[in-house]
Amino acid sequence: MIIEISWDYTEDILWIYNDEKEWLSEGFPLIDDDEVLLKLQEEIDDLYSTFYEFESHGEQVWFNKPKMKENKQKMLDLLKKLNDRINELNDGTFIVEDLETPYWENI
Amino acid sequence: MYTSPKIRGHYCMCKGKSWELDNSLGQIKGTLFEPSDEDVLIDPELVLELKKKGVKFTEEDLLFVTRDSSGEIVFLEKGNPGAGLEHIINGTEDSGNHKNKFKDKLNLEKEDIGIAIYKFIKEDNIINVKPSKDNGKNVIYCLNNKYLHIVIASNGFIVTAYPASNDEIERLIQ
Repeated sequence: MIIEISWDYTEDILWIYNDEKEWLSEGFPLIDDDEVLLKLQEEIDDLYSTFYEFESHGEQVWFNKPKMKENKQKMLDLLKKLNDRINELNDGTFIVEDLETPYWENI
Repeated sequence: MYTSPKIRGHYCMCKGKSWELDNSLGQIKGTLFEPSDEDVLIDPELVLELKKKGVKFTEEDLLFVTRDSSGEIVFLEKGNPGAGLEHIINGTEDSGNHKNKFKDKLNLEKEDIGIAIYKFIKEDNIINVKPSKDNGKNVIYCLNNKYLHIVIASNGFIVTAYPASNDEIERLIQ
């Protein structure tokens, strides 16, 4: 099983796939029901959403890169907490593919 | 108000003008989600209304513009990696993409995703609506026992769309 960490507007940040990378939309209770993870995901979602600006700079959706840079460390800290918690919960049944941390490290 | 022949005629025009702009994103084909003769993908009156409202949009990138059951105009643009159809299909560098989820859960190829979103909206079987952070909404639509999230900005622009998860639907139905 694969847990992908990737954010998108208004969506979950954790996506669960089988080993063939087919999306398992039925979820995974070990991850879905963990209160710590739910709270961290909400914090990340709240922060990430502030970088979206609608009808701004001549675009439907404009990403506020300066604001993202200002909040880079804050986001990286949240992502580390998220990864740490997932690793605590990992009973050996899944691997983690984190698309967010490398992205934020390069901002 | 359009008569049927004009609707059909306009649909054909739109098919040529918009959906075939970029075959990798907007090609119309498929079965379940294939547009019918009655579908109006781009209604000039709605385009005009968007303009009058001062909504920013790129007319040549419009894939469809329609009105949802609440009477609000919603539209899908070709978009960019951050939002719109390109985003839905290809995603951003950190978000992955949704085309595999459409394939896994709705059995849709990427070429069919745009028209499928239109069909879900027109079917108008809404399972759930919750506000999004920009005063827009995240709507779960149902069509033929398939479920789709469509995230619509406050100006009607479709930001993203992705299949709803099974457990989410079960929770909502309970």
